[in-house]
Parts: sequence; C-alpha cells; structure tokens
Amino acid sequence: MEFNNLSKQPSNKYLGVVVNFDDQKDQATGKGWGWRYKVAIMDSYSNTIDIADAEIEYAICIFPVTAGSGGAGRSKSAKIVQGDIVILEKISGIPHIVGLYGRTSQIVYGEGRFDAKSGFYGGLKPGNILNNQEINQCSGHCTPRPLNTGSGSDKSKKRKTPIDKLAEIGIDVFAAAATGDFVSPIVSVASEFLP
Amino acid sequence: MASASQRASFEIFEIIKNGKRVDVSGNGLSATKVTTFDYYESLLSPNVTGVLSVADIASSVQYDSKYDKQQRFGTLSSALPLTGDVDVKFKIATKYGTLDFSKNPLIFDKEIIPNQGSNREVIIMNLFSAYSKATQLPVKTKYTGNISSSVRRLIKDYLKVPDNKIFTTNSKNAWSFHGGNECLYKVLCEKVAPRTVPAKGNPGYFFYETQDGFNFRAIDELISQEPVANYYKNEVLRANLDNDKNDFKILSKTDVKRDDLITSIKSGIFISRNIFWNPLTSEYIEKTFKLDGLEESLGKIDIDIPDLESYTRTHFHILDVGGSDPGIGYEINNNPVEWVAKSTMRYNSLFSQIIQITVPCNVSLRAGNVINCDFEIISQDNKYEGAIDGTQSGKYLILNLCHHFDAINSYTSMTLVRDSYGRHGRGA
Repeated sequence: MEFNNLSKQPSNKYLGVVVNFDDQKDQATGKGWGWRYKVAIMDSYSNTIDIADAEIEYAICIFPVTAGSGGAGRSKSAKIVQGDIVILEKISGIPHIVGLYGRTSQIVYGEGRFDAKSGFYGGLKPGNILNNQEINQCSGHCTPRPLNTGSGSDKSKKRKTPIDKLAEIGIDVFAAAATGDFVSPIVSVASEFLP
Repeated sequence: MASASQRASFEIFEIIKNGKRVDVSGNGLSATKVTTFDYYESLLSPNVTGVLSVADIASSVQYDSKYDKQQRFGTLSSALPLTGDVDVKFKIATKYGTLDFSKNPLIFDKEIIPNQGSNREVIIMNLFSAYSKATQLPVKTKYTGNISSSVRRLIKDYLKVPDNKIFTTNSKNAWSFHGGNECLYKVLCEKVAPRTVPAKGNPGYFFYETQDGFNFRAIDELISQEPVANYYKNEVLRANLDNDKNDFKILSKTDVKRDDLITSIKSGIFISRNIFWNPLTSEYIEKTFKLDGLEESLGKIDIDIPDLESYTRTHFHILDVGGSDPGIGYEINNNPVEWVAKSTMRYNSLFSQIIQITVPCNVSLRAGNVINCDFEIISQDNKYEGAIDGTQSGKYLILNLCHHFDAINSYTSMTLVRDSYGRHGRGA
C-alpha cells in the first residue's frame, strides 16, 4: 500500500451495461436527480447474480461540450437506454458515463445481465417510420423512400405524362426546350414594394 | 537457565501431500531435515508466511510409479513432488511459548534450489497461510451498514474463519460497498481500512493475520495498548545467569528512518486542503485540516510541528450521493469529510520513525503488539543518574515480525514503528 497516496485513485476506464430500467424505475422515469443510470461494470460484476441489479451503483452521465449543462437554458438530454454498452471512467471512485457503443444490425439479444437487450421501455415505443430498428451504424437505418414505378392501387401500371395539362400552362413537351419558354407571371405589386 | 536464543525444539515438522507424509523435524530416522525456518507476520500483509530451508538427501520419499517405474527414493522436490496442494505442518516449542501450526498448516507456494548434487539438494520453500488462497478470491458481494460488522461478515463469508479467530475494532461509521471482483486482501487493505473510523480515535485500520487469527484493528487502538514486553539495549555485559533478563536484551538495532520532514510535509500530515464536491447540489466544500497534536500516540502527544504558511497537499473527493442506493438516494455514503484528512495523517505519522531490532526468540509476540524499548543514553556524563535515553525509549508498535529458527539459535527480528518521541503522555 502506498501510504502517501491515500486519496490518489487512478482514473481507469471500464465497460458496462445499463441494467434493466425495471431495476431503476424511479430514476429512469424521471423521478430521481441528474442523469444517472445503474451500470453493471463488466470488470466489477459477474453474470452469476451475487448483487441484484437494483443494488448496483449509479453512474453519472458526462455530456459533450455541445450539449450544455442546463446553464442559460442550454441543454440536450441523454439518450441512454437499458441494454446500452457504455464506457465509464471512475473519478474519485465514482463511475461516470463518458460514451457509449452504437448498436449494430447484427446485434444478438439475450437474457443474461451483460447480454444486449431492447431499449424500448415504458413510453419509448417503436415509431411509425423506423419501426423497431435499434441500430446506430454507418449504413444507417432502413427508411421508406419514393418509388418511380406504378400509380394508384395498381403498381404495375406505368404513369402517363400529362401532355394536355402541360400544354395548358404553355409547355410543349414535343418541342426542344428554349430560353423564354416560361413567361413571367403578370402580377400587380403595390408601389411601396417597387424599387 | 536455558536462554531464549538457544535452539528451539521442532516437535512436529512435516511436509504432506496426498497422504504422503515426510518428517523433516530431525527427530526421527529421516536424514532430510529443516536447516532454517523463518516465520513472518506483518501489519501490511493479509497472511502469515514462512520460508523453510530443507537439506534433502533424497531418501525420505518414493517416486510415484507414473514418474519412476522402479519407484525409487528421491527428493521432496521431484519425488513428492512439490506441486499443487502441499501442506507444511509444524509445532515449535520455545522458552516463551509454542508456535503451533499443526492444526492449521501453512501451504507451499514456490521453491528455489540453490544447491544440488547427484544425491542431495537444498530446497528453500516459500510458505503461506492456509487462508492465502481464499484471500485471493474476488469479492462479489455487497455489504451495507456498520463497517466493522461488514468486515466480520466478509471474513466469515470468504475465509470461513470461526468467530473466535476474528478480532475487530468496532467502527462508528457505515458504508455501502461492493467488492467489485477485487480480491479480499485488496478490498480490505486498500479500500475499507483507510475509510473506517473507530468508535474512539482517528480513522485508519490494518487488516492482517497473526498466529491467533485475522485482525481488522484501528491504528489508534493498537497504539494505545499496554506493552506486552520490555526490551532494553546497552553495551554493558551482564551475567544474569540467575534470571531471564538477557532474554529481553536487544541484540542489534538498526535505524531505518528517523523523521523525514520534507516527505511528511509533502504527504500533508501537518496541513492539508480537502475538497469535496457534491454532484447533487453542486456544492463545493473546502476544509483545511491542521494537525496540532495527536489524540493517541506511542510517545508524547504534543509533537513538534514545523512552521508552515500554507497547506502542502490537496485531497479531492466527489461525494457519493445515493450511488449505492437501490432507489433514488439523497444520502452521502460514508462521507469522506469524516475520514480522509485524519486517515492520511494517521497512516503517515505512524511511520515517522522505523527501527529494526533483533532479540532472543519470543513467539508470544505478535504483529500489532506494543513493546517497550529502553535504549541507553549516549552521553559523556555520568550514567548512574539514569542510563535511559528519554527521547528514543518508550513504546513501539510491531509492524513486521520474524521468528527465526536454525540448528543452533532462535531469534525474533522486528520492524518497529513509532509516531512520536519520548515516553507516552504529555509534556516532560
């Protein structure tokens, strides 16, 4: 033991998993203080549950400089959910969350303490567009995009070009495009707005 | 009258593996026998240890058939062999008690062979307490409540030590902590001991093993004990054939450290700045701790304090507010305001003087005991007015202890520490 360095605790980095929100319900649903999550540190806890998830210590979130602390009303919320794998740093023995891993499309869910689990909990429900996708990787989410085939209910039917409607607004689809095809609209402008 | 420094009697000295038992005491027919044995205890070690030297003439143990088809006799190292679980059982009778590990043998750790011939060798074996394997086990559980009670439970849970072999100083503070998969020795020595405040006195504990069992004792309690023995050192040769006085003569003394002002200043014994930050309220608390005397000491409590204009060390702590609470938690867990500065002062000041002495063997001594030492005054003046040095003499705490046994002599060597000068008390 190095007696001259009693208070000197090296600031090591750790990896941990945010435990089930059921085991930190009050804090996770906004009844607690600060942004804190109970994190099972992989080095410090084991898969054989000697300490229940609810008894695990809290880790405090550290925000990037772009997030704001809340001072002058500037803030961004933490977006950590249960099952997230987070990076921790212990300062003065207290664990702090300094970052987190993105979930990949190859994620494998399990039941164990350190296994990946869905982040959907309580009010956090799958959305209309992304549905139940829970990934953050460079390929991005799978999102809906417009298709250029089909029309109406029969998607095999090719849409026709509305030649007559275009002619009504002065566009001849068969003629070569030329400068001045479009005539400026005639509008009356109040004199005070004229230069 | 026999002297305590004479050869001790090895009543039992056996090396045992898988039912094979080799007597190395030198009492029986076996010519393989102990040449020297050193037994160690330390306040800084969680286990008792030993170093055993054996002269092995390769005739006391037979090889197993899987290593030698003829099952010839060989050395302990190869024929036993010294691998895996090997027990070393011993009982050594001395003038001042018996060192008895016959019921709780030490275990073999590693060996070196400094001398080897075709039909003999010398083996030096490192031995550890039978509990040493368990002290390396990771602590996976969480403890809540009074710290000394938690430590008792922890020792019982992991070391399976009976209650009557656990000695603790009651603490007044509570702490909720988990082992974090660190070994028991690290958890108790490095995490828990400095954070524990006894019911009376300054924070700071030691976790260590002695012949009697496991101890988690406050430094202030240890140093306030009455001396268990009185030793003296002078250059005068006295016959003392009719009494035991020579058994308490200090045979040699070495000064390892006598004050170290700059180191003491740097370590913040005298003035320290202590910063505490509360993550719940964002409160910044700054407290300056200034030492103006010792509450408990081995020597005089009014110690010499250097004149300093400012603090010389800063301690920083983020308060653990409800960190271990199963719910939300607003309470501070074992507030460091109560222990950090005083604990640093207690550990550092204890080691301000370190000496090593050798005395005739006394196995009744334990690490953590206090002994009284009288040193001769060094003076040109008359010594019949008093031959004792009033500064160096007084109570000392046994930090490390070694009982040494060989074919001719038995000695006890000790590292003694002290936090102040003179005899215990205030003033002259």
